[in-house]
Formats: sequence, C-alpha cells, structure tokens
Amino acid sequence: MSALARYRPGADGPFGPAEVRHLFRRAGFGLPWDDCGALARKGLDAALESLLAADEGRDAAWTSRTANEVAVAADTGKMAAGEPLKKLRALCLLRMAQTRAPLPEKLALFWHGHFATSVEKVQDLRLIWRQYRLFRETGVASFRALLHAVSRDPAMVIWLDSDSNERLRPNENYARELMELFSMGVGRYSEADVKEAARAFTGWHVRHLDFWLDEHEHDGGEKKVLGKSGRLDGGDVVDLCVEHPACAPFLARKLLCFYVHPEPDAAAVAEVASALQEEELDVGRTLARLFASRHFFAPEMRGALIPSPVEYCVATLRAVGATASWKELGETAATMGQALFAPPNVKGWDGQAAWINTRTLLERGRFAEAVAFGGGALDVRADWKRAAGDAFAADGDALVARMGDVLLGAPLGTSSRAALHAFAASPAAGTGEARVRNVAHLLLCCAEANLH
Amino acid sequence: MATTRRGFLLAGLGAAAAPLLSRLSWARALEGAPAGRVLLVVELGGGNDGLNTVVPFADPLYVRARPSLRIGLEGVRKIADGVGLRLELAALKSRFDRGQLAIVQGVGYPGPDRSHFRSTDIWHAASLEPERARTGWIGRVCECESAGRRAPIGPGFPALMVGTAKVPLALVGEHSSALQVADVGRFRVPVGPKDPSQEGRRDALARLATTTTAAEHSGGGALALLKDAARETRASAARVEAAVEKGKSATTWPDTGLARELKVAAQLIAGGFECAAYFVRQEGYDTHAFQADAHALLLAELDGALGAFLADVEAAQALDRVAVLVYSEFGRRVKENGSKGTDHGAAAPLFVLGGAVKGGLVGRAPSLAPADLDGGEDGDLVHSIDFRRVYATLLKEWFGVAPKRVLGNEFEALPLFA
Repeated sequence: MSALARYRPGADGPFGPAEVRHLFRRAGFGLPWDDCGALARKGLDAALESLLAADEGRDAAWTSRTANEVAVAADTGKMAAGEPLKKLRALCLLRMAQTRAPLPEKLALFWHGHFATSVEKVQDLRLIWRQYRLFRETGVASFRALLHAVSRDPAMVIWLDSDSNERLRPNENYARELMELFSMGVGRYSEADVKEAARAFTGWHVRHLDFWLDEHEHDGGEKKVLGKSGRLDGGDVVDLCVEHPACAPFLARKLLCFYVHPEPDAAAVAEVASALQEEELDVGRTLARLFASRHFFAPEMRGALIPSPVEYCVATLRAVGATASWKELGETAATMGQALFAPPNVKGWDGQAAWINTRTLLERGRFAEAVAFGGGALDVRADWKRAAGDAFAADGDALVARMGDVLLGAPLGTSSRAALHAFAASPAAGTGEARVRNVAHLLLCCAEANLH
Repeated sequence: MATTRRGFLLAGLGAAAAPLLSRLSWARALEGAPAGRVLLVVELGGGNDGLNTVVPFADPLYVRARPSLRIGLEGVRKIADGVGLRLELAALKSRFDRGQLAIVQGVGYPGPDRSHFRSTDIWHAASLEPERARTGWIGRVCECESAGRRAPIGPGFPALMVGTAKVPLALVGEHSSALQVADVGRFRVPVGPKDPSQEGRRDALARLATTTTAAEHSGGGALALLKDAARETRASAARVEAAVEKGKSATTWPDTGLARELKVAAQLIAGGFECAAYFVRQEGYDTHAFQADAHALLLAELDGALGAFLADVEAAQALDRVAVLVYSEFGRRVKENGSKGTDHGAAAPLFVLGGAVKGGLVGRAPSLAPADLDGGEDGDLVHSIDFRRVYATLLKEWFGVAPKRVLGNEFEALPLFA
C-alpha cells in the first residue's frame, strides 16, 4: 500500500480534534483546541483547506508594515545588529502567531533553515528581509524556480561569496553548498564538479542591493558539470542540480524530517520523491498530498517530533491566544538555540534531538514559567479563565485533562499525568485562576510539552 | 518504521551531532571521585588558515602564493628558523617559550574532505567514514571504564559543552550524555514566583523530572529522550551550583564570547566539577573573502581567551591536570583566491597546551612546492601526521585509555607529554 495513499477517516482511524491538532502543529504553528474540535467536525478536506485560508488582506498589511520598518532602519543606518534585527524577528514571530494561512508561513521557516543565511555576514537587514519574503511568497511553488531565485538572491550572493567569485580566481563556496546542502547531498558530485560549477557562477555579484551579472568577471568558457559539457552559466548548473536524480529524494527526506518523522523510512522518502517529480517539484502541491496521507496520520508519526524553539514558543502562545513582547520572544527563542536570521551555519539547525540538552531544557522551563505567571521582559498575557473553559471550576483531574489538550502538542503520558493529578489534588494547587496557572506551568514543564 | 532509540537520537542528522542524554546517571557514577585530569577542546570552526597561524614567513613559495595575505617577519613572533606564530598569539608564544605549547605540524587525514560538515564529523567521530559512526571520540572516552582506577583519570565522567552552539558529535557516547552550560547564573530549575504554591510546584517538578514508566522508556524515541534530559538536567544543575560556589576566578578576562565560555570552564575546573572534557567552539574561520582583518581578530580573541584561561587554571593550581587541544576541521588552500581570501584546504598545524605538555614543534611543516601539493599548483597541503595520532597520544598519555578501544585501530603516539 502506498505510503501517500489518502487517509480515510473511519477506515484508517479517527478524525477528531487530536488529528486536527497534529495537522496544524506540523503544517503550521498550532490551533486553539476549541477550534480543532470545530474543524474536526467539518472533516479532513476543510481542515486542509484552512491551512491555506485566504489571509491576503492581513498579509498585505503586515508585509507593508514590515517593509516600512526595514526601510526606516535603513534610513537611520542601523542595518544589521541590535534593535532593527530584534524588530524584524518580532514582526515575523507575530505573523506566525496570528496568521490564518499557516502553511506558507511554516514553509518559510523551513526554507530559512534549508538556505540558512545569517545576517551576521550579510550585514544588511534589507537583504535578509528580501530573502525571507522570497521564502514566504514563492516557497510553496516550484523548487526549481526557488533555487534559481535563491542563487541570485542578494543575501545569498553575499552569504556564500558569489559576490567575490571572479573569472580568474573562482570562489567555490556557493557551488559547493548548492550541491551539498541545497539540492543533492554530499557524495553525489565530485570535487571537479564543484570547481567547474564555481566557474559558472563567476560574476554573479550584487550591485546597489540587487543581483548583477558582471560580464567582465564571468567565465563564459567551456565547463563540465555533473557529466554535462558546454559553455554553462550558473542557471545551467542550477538546472543540472535540480534535474539530478539525487535532488528529489534529497528534498523529500528533508521535508519528511521537518514535517513528519525525524528518521523517515526509505519507502516514505521514495514516495515523496516521486510525488515531487509528478508535481514538477511543486512543494505546496506535494505537501498537500503528504498532509492528506495515511503516512502522515499514522500512530508512529504522532508526537514524534521535538518542536524547534520558534515552533514551541509560537504554538504555546497561539494555544491560549496570548500576547507577549514579540521582541523578547525573539531573544527567548535565540537563547533556546534558534536565533532567527542568524542560524549557526549554512547547514541550518540540526533539529530534533539537537534542540534538547541540559542548558536548552532549563531555558524551555524558564519560558514555561514566563507563560504561566506573566510579568518579566516577556510579558505574556493570556486569558486563563477562558483557556480553562468549563474545567475552570471542575476537579483537578478534569482541569489537568483540559489544560493538557489546550497547551500540549501530544497527549500526556502516564507518569506525567500522575504527577499532575497529585499536584492538582493537593492544597498547593491553589484556587481559581492561580490554580489554572499552576497547572499550566507544570504541564509546560512536562516532557510531552516538548513534543508534537 | 523501526525506530531504535539510538537510531532516533541521530535521526535525520547523518552522523551529525545529537546531544545524548544518559540512561546512566552521571551523578551516581561520580560519587566520591576525586578531581582528575581534564581535556579542553577548542574547535576553530570554519577551517583555520594554518599557514597564516604558524607562518613559514621566509618560504618564497608562501610569499608567492599569498600576494595580499602574506605575513612577513614583522607580523610574527619567531619560534624557529623561518617560522613564526602570528603576532596576535602573544599568550600562546609565552606558553611556547615556557615549554607548555606543542605545535603539531602538517596534521590531517588521508583523502581530505573539503566539506566543513563532513570533515568536522571525521574529526569528531575519529573515523574516515563518519556516516557509519554514531558516537564521537570523546563520548567514547567518557564511557571507558578506567581499569579499576578512579584517579587521575577522566573516563567515567561526562563531557561538557560550554556555550550555546550545538552539542557536537565528538561528545556523543553510545549510552551517555554531554552536558551543556552557557551561563552558570541561569543554570538552575525555574520554579515560579514565591507564593504559597511554590513548594508544591517544586515537588511536582522534581517528580516530573525523575519518574517515568517502563513503557514510556521502552518506547524509545523523543519521549524517552526528553525524560532522560529532564533527569540529567536536574542533577547537573545541582552539581554546577556546588562547583561554582567553590571555583572563584582571580583572573582578568577579556570581554569576548570565547573568553566568557572559557571562564565557565575554568570556574568549573577550579571548583572541582567532575568532568572528563570541556568543549568550546569559536566560529568564523571560513575566510573565503577579505581574510586579513577577520582572521587577525579571530586569532586575537583566541589568544586572549586561552591566555586568561591558562592563567586562571594556573592560579587555581590546576594547570598540571589540564590539557588543551586546539584544532580546525581543515586548513585552507595554499594559494589565495581572487577575493583576498582562501578556499577550503587540507593539512594544518594544531596546538596541544598544558602544564604537563612537552612543548616545541612536532613533526615537519608540509612542503609548499607545487609538486608536493594535493592538486598541483592550485592544490592543498599534504598531511604528514594523522590527527588520530594526536588523539591516540591524549588517550594513552593523558587519559590512560587504550587508544584502540576508542579509535578502533592502533595509532603511533607522539611525544606530546613530558
């Protein structure tokens, strides 16, 4: 049976609020539990459609506001570090927290990790913003078109030194990472391919913040890349990489690791790769098939991923409709290991187990504390009475169950539930809103809070 | 989908780093163990230009290959005929003069890989096929039983990554964890506000961190990993707090990121924190363009931080039980590129420092003659010392562990310790 066969609610399993939560946590940044229930009643198709709900009006308003903020920062000459970067991070987190069309927003985060570019070298927030817009606005379409656009993207041109790649002395940085990290993976090309491809990208420079083909520095001579000879230029090399048999499986694996399971099996990789090929590398259409599949909803995929700091923070705030200091949230995620627009290196974030260690777990605990009790620099504000709903005045077990559904991305396990029940039944749990906050704090400190 | 626990931990990462959290409890293994020898690894991320670190300033081939980047006599502190340490490396030069710095020349491995990530993995796994390795060499050291001896041996203790960068593959063991600490002041369990519920929350948090069911553990996967992490975090927070109480720094530290990280290591070492190895990583050595200023700043930061670290552990009378290894995943191309930078290369020198180290130049510097390069005129330096010989020396002489147990093969030791 094909792994990407469509999930049939009823025959293959239920389609309830837990399935909607799984879909929205993975494809987006989560959905309030009560909305999960409402959407479950409308069915799988309606849920899939709402991942791509029309949100153009709000999106256009956000885009022009952000463009304006970046332009103002440019005028004051503070282009890279400090406040302008914090502001851009804040605006992006705000959008993730509020969007009604989460799929492109989440995919933009995926591409940011895939084409991991850091402001620390690019040193110009305008270019970082422009690259992020590229991911948001074109990331759901053709990977071939995206890879062409990224190869000419000014931030990338600076980040991987195409800007100083010259005819007489080629710089291999972009050519190598294009093959190793962006399209095929290590071992699928030779050192000679890298050297020859570097020549094809000579003269791909930036001038006045735009891509500029410097004819004088471009090596128009014969080259041989990935078995093909000719007077190849950078665009030809991008096409050769995209058409290489290793490309679709490479991208398929990366998508599966990000969206479905940290260790995808070979059959799933092969199926998603062939789906990508059938869809002419259209990533949005491929993901739509993946998210409707039996594979995606299978029990072993549920709660199998450790959300990144950005995913964890945004989903937690979305779950209770909270507001926060979005600027501070950017710092919080950075402390947990995910500094937006400053990934550790061109390989991006390793994800999954690499998010968790003694230090980052304490930082996640500090976030849990800030969410539950408010105050401090993060200044989280949530309506806890509303979050608790009918369980506000119910017994401890009922409150734990309700708040677990609301806050977590995966069901509470036996041992955590026992600890929570014991606490909720004790006088220490307190009463009223304080009780809800105490339970919320402990829930967010459970192992299950770091799963989805 | 067969998800073994081990498989899961390295999921999707190839052989890249995954911070493993232990099934063993380090805290339990450590009871009553005396403070022993430690290794500090400083990784220079991105590929350090070895030729512009230990500079063959008098070699005409060097001068010709580096029209804009060459360093002359005025830019070095001479350590031998025609060879100088960069001017920025003042503290290292003074340690060299005191016989506490060994400079191992021409270090690399057969079939050098020019990918940062694969080459880093090769160094971390101590394997030329890092795809097949699930553990790092230090992680394996930490899991060695020390043949009945508890002191002065590192093995049997955890490794600790200082800083906020990802925990490297080097520290990953088969069953064990690497700890990570960045700021000792933040390394405590948050329990919420002082209110009538605080004690109850504290108890509940302890219970959450320390209890789990057999089914939750046998399921493997992310839940088991998170449960292990919670327990380990709780135990190490208490141990770090205790060590910090004892280890007070008496040195003036530079105001740099690397110095802040090395200060944490020095403080924990002085405070008797039981740990086999500390690992820090200084980023930024991938100098493809306009290398001169950037590289000089990096070396200055490195020297300032290492100088303060060595002075601090010396003041705590711990220099004899500390060995420092400084290396990069590869060197850089002999010939500079058109961007006043250098592309990825191969062999390079590395440093071993410490009170017990036998200082001096070890091995010979690679020839820069085009005929001797890998790839001809535009080629790379060829190694003469396999980096695993350095590891083997540290294993045998420093940790008292049979190198073959960690490296899988025998490698001839080098004269690095007095």
